[in-house]
Formats: sequence, C-alpha cells, structure tokens
Amino acid sequence: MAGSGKSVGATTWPVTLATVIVLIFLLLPTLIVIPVSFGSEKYLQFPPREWSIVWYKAFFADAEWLAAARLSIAVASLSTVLATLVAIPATLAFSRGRLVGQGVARSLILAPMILPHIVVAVGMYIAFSRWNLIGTLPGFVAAHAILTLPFLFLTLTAAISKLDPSLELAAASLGASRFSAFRHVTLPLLMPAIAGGMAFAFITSLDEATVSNFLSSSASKTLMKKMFEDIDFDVSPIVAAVSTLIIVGSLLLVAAAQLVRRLAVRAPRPAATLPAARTQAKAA
Amino acid sequence: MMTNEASALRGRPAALRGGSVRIEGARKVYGSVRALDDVSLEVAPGEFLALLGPSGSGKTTLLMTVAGFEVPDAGMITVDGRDVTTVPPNRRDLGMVFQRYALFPHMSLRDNVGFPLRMRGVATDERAARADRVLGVVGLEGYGDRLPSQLSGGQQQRVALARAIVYEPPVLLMDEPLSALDKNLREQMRLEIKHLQKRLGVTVIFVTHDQEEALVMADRIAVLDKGRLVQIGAPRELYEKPCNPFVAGFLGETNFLTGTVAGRDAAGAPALALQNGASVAGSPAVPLDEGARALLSIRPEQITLQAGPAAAGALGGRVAEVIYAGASTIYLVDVGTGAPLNVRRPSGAEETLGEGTPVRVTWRASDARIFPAEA
Repeated sequence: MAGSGKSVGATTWPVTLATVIVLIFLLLPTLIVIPVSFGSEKYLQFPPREWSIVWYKAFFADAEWLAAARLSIAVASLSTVLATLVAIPATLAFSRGRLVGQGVARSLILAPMILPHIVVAVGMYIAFSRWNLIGTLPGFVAAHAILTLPFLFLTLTAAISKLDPSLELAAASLGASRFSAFRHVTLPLLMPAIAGGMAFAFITSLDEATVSNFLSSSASKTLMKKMFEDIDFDVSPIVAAVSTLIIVGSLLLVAAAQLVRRLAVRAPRPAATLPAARTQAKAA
Repeated sequence: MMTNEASALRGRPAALRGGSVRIEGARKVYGSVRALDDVSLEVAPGEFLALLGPSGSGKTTLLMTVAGFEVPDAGMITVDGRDVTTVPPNRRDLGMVFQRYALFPHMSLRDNVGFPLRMRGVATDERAARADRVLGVVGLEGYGDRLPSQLSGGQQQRVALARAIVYEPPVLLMDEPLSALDKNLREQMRLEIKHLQKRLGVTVIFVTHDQEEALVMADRIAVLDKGRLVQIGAPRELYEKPCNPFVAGFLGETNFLTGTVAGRDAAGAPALALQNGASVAGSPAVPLDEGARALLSIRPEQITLQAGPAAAGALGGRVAEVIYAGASTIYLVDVGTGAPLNVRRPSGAEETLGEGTPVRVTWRASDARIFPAEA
C-alpha cells in the first residue's frame, strides 16, 4: 500500500480509483474480522455495540487454543526451514547441472501444488498412519515441508534464472572454490528470493487446513483445525481474534521479507579501517 | 586519469612478471562439432596475444581451456611450465575479464576488487588498501564505496580489470571485454588496456572477433577458423602476408580475383591470367604450378589508378562509383571480372577520377598474394 501511494502521481486518476475500488473489494471481507474481534457479545457481531478485548484475553487464557497456536507456529517454522534446506540445493542442481530424470523430479516437487489438497491429504493420512506419524510434530513438519516446497522451488528457480552465470565463473577465476562462490556470491544474491519464499512458505503452512485436518489427533491439532472445530461447535468471537492475530502476523512477516529485500539491494558495508589503510598505502 | 594511474603505480615495488602459456595439441569436441582441432601455440612472458576468429571458430573455447572452465579432450596446457590441463579454475591463479564484466552486484567496488584477495586469505585492512590502490591504477580512485550499478559500462570494465590484476596474476585472460561498449569508448579502452598491460608486464590472451581491435592491441594475433589455428604472427605479418584467403579476407579488407597461373610477367614476377584476358602480377603464398587455378588477393589501399585506357594484356576498367569516406575515397572499378574492384585512395592527395573514367589498374607484385584456389 505504501508503495502504491508513491506511484499515484505517475498514473491517471481513473486508474488510481479503479485500483482503490478493487483493493477495497479484496480486503474488506477479510478486514471485517478485525472490528468483530473487538466486540463484547458472545456471538459474532458487526459492528460491535461495545468495544473490548475480552476475546483476546479468552484466547490467551485457553490452554487448548494456545497449544494449537504453539503447534502451528512450530510446524510452520520447522517445515519452512526444512523446505528451504531442500529447495536451495535442489534448485541449484536443476538450474546449473544436467541431471538424469530432471523432468520427472521437477514434476514430483511441484505435484503437491497441482494436486487437490484433499488427494494429498488422504494419501498422507494412509502413509502416515502406518508409520505412526499422525498427530506428531515430525508428521506435521514433513507434510508441510512437502506442501511448501513447490513455492520455494519456484521462487528460487525464477531468481536463479535471473542471475548471470558468469558471476560464478568469475568467482572461480578469482580463486573461489565452488562452496566459497556459493557462499559469497550466489547465496547473498538469492537472499531476497529466499526471504520472500520463506515468508510465503511459513504463511502457507500456517494457513493449511485440509492436510492438517487429516493429520491432527484429538490431543494434537493445528490452529486451523482448532478454528474449524470451533466454528462447527460453538461460534465464539475467539475465532475473529485469532484471525486478526494471524492477519497482523502475516503482514509483519511480509514486511520483514520486504525489509530483507531492501537491505540486500543496498548491501555494502564500508570497511571501517579504510581511511587509515589508504594513507598508509600512499606513504608506502 | 593517466596521471592517477602513474602515481598509484609508483607505490608498487615492481611490475608484474608475465607468465608463459603453452598449448599443445588441444582438442575439444561437442557432439559432432570440433570446437578445437589440434591447436598448439605458445605465448611468451609479457606478450599480448589476440585470439581472432568468427563466432564458432573456437577462440572462446580455447580461452576457456586456459582458464580451466573447459578441459580439453586431448592435449596439454601449461602455465610457466606447470601442467594445468586438469587443474580447476580457482587453483590456476590466472586473471580473467568477462564479456559482461561479471561484477558482483551486491558488493562495493572495494569488495569486488578485494574478493580475490579475500579468497587468498589477505587480512581486511590490507585488502582494502590494495583494492583502493588498484582502483586508482584503473582511474577510479575514491570510488571504492560505490556499487557496480552506479557505474557506466566503461567504468565497470575498469573495475573488472582491477579485480583481475589486484592479485598480480602472471596471465590475464580477456573474453571480448570491449564488445559491450560503444564505439568511441571501445577505441579509447583499447589503448588504455594496451598501455596498462605494457606497464604491468602481464601476459595477456585476448579473445576478439574484431580484426581492428586485434591489429591495434596485440603483439601477435592467432587467427582461428572452425576450431583450427590458421595462422599466428605479428599484426603486420598477418595483414601483409596472409597464409590463405580466409586470413586475407578476415583481417582487413581485400579484393579477390580468380584466374590461372601463367608463367611470369615482364618483371619476372609470377603472373595470373584472368578471365577477362588481362594478366596481373603477385607473389604466391605457396609454390604453384603453371596452369593451376589460383586466387589473388590485393588490398584496396595498395591498388594504383591512373586515368587512361590500359595496354593490351594489362588490367584496365572503368570507375563505376566514387564514395567519399572522409580521410579516404573509395573507388569501385569495374574490370569485367564480376564484382567491381574496391580501391581506396587518400582524399585530396590525388586527382579525383569521375564516374565513368577509363582507368589503368596496377599494383606492386609484392603487395598481391596468390593462393591456390580451394577445391
């Protein structure tokens, strides 16, 4: 939003107006949960007659809600890290190397994004129940890493294809080993894409309901599963409060990824020792 | 700019010592394409060698085998006597400048130039000092904190050069480093790179498809075609004594005339009988039998035109077109052998011959080269 504000001067006002209308249309239904969450009644009410934070207090006092939130955040963090650790080498191998069966492997990586989640969920449920992974942290992490891998893979593939391959050759000619070239040249240049992909993967995992629904047990459920249950059995404004928290969290995450992107573009840190070094060089 | 370079250089203990490079029987095949076909050549310490050829001639592949990015299927590469044929690029200790500079966009110029020093474990302070000094050598003193994106193409080129010489490699490899620059800057950079190379004493292997660039910059030129080394020698030698029609045509402009070898002319020079009945003199690149089909090459600026009809048996023609090109004027002369002869004369120094003027066409036998006609 802040970014679009700057470019208003460059566009004509009908375009601006249309953009604003579309944005309102897209955002309003989502944002309506925010005022609803600050109501005081025991049911969802808009606009609320009285303002309060009672439902936030209720959320933070309820052990079951907190456990679900903790599980979701743990699953999202771990699965994002796992998927990133797989995605980086996989993308490098796909774009820089010549692999046997590359097309098949690519399709397998992207499959969770293309197949209906319910199909993936049923398959995982059958496999995971055999391995006793239902309702366990490793089970959730493995499932979500598979689901978020395509997003990281695609983001990184796009970023690598924009990198000039001669940068790595230049690094090698200047004495860098393959690993040094990756660490000092490729990785920093991919950092904005990695940050963006990770933020996206994290949110995707947090938001995932279908597979989580199958993999949850009565003792161990994710936030989304808990929200669905809550809506089914007893619609309390806690759901609105949780939604608001998720919106704010997601926005902060996207902002953080954007910040990494900006910092990466500006990168260089001036060497503190320079002025002294320069005079020494002249004296010598 | 030059004064900056000179003052920065004075702080240096000694000029770089150039290394020698030896390529023996290098072969490289990609599928059915022979990128390198038994190429052997030597580069002396401190020499500037240009690898010249059209695209697909193998010049870049040859450079890449020296750099270590390609391993030849057969043959050997040595640098200063050390066999480096299978040594990975990062352990060859050579400098390389890429076509599109390949500066690291996320690093300041100081960090870019300091990168090879960092890879060699040089401490941060010394790294910065040496990077700044070399930036001064290439005329970018005080630019250390900038990012590559803040520079013009010519400046980026200088940074790439600085980065490739900061660790004082014995050999500097350059892959068409000037091709991305506009014409004026390219011509200026030619001389700057040449002067810098002479001052540092570094050996340079320079890939180019621009024959003028090769003539201006190189001590010797190696002409490649279809993966083979066709001819290697000083620019003057190649220009004046090309070994075959390909070299004659690729290096500078030339006219080709076909005919049969017909004994010797009045001055004792071997003569060529043309289809139009005229006989012209030249010096054969290889011994030729009388009656053999042959091709004569003569440079536009080595042809003399005189107004008037030609004697029987001598070459004559008619001026078909006059093109004024500033310092010189180009005459297209129809001599009745197909394509008109391209003749270049200094503008103003001689009388202008109008279009349609009958002219006598002559040249010195030593200026024309006769090659066997290719089958």
